[in-house]
Amino acid sequence: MRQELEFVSADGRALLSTYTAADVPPGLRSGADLHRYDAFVEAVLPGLRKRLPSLETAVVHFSVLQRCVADALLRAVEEAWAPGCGAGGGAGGGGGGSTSTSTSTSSKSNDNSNNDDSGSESGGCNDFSAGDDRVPFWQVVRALSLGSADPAPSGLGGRKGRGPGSPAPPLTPPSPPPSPHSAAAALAARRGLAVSEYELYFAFAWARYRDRVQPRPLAFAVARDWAAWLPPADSDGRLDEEGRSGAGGCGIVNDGGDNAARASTAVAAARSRVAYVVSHSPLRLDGSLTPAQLAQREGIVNAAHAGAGRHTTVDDAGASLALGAAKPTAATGAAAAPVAGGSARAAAALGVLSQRGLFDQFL
Amino acid sequence: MPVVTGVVVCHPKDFDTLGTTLETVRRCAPQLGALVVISPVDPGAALLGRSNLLGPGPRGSTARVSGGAGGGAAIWFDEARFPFRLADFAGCLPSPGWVLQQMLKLYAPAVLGSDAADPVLGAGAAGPDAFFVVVDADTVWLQVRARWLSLVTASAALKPPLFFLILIATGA
Repeated sequence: MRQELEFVSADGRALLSTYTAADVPPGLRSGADLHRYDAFVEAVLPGLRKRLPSLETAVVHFSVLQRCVADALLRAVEEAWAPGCGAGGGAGGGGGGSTSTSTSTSSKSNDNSNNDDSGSESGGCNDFSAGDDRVPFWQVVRALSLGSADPAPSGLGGRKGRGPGSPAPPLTPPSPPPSPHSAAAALAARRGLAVSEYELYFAFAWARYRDRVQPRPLAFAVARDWAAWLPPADSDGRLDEEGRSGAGGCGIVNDGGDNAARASTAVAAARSRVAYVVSHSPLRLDGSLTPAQLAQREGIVNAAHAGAGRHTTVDDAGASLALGAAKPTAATGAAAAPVAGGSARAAAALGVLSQRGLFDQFL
Repeated sequence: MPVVTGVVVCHPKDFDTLGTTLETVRRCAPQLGALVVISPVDPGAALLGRSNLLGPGPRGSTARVSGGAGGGAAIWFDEARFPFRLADFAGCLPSPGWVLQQMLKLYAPAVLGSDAADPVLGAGAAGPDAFFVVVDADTVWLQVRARWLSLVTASAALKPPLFFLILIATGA
């Protein structure tokens, strides 16, 4: 009765999830990710832009990397930032997969992760330590994060190349091509950029290797009490055949109140339509958050992608019951049922009824 | 089909959710091959002390988690084997660890795939077409139900009138 979650399509494409502005409940802080990393993507590899700047984000807490694409990303950035490549040669968004052919050598082993003397093969697919004339990818990211053109402003050169305390030569950013966003990116770079691996990878893969990726939005919940989202447990606390986790599993032993939350029909309804729950440590561990603050942090993203329906916040879904939240609202059932995967006909019917508040009589 | 490896980059602060992350992603995606945990310390002891999820327990540098359809083993990979370290990101915001984790994820295909001296991944998992499913250590994966079953169970979990309404609307 349950379906496996595929991460790679039948034709060999990585299934990458994103969400757009339309897929975030109003007021949910996850909406900030839509634009937070725009400047970083444009700064790290001139010419590269997000698929939908300010409107879409790939910060969905997972990604499906393909080695040749990941290798090409690192190499493209290193080449763009190499001394003498100030024009960003070969790094522009119009590359159209120009680096993809070199990834065919990636099967060659190159175990140099702990070898300071290792000579990297220029253009090698796993050339993660960069060559003599190239700045390692991670140093580029660090420089952008620090808002400095110096790749090692802290005096730490990492394990490759320069030793600790050795000043590094200035890192010259490649000249970006004309872009309406370049000025903003340059300005943000001076302040230090918020970096995102997921945004960068998706933007790069979409720009250069579109035939290797396939967007596939997945609904997910952001919640403090992730355990409340797990289905009821079997007696010994282990995952049963249905993939349910035990109450004592993972050291999370809920008290009676939380178990009651688990039994919540609203959570059960919402659970069936999300693929995963993310529970950030600040959200899990900060007990000082008020219900109002939690309401800004907890919610369901991409809920509508399973079909017609409307967004439902976690509070609506009752997943905040651990905090003693009120019973689910009428919107819970109204939104959850169609989004759970029913036919378009049912979704449309329930949506209309929901908007008219007709579910109150059932709830 | 290409080999798909699961990768979880994990700071010790997320060890409390790591066990569930591993187990649920394994359950939801049994097509995954190895599950690799990249962290600064062996998570085996933390998992062993905090849950009943472990099978044989830590074995050398390898923590094994039971319950997976594909054997369930989770392999610890020391983040010290990457070409950078936490101190390299001093001053980065919002925290050095934030940026470090991002770099660990992006470098994981290259580093894990090139680990020839101490093979972490099986044959094929290091090739150019190999996939690496990188999931955050604070995610819990819920199995996807068949669409029709989700609809029925979701509605039945609410109120019987709603349940029957859906049955009528769907023609079920």
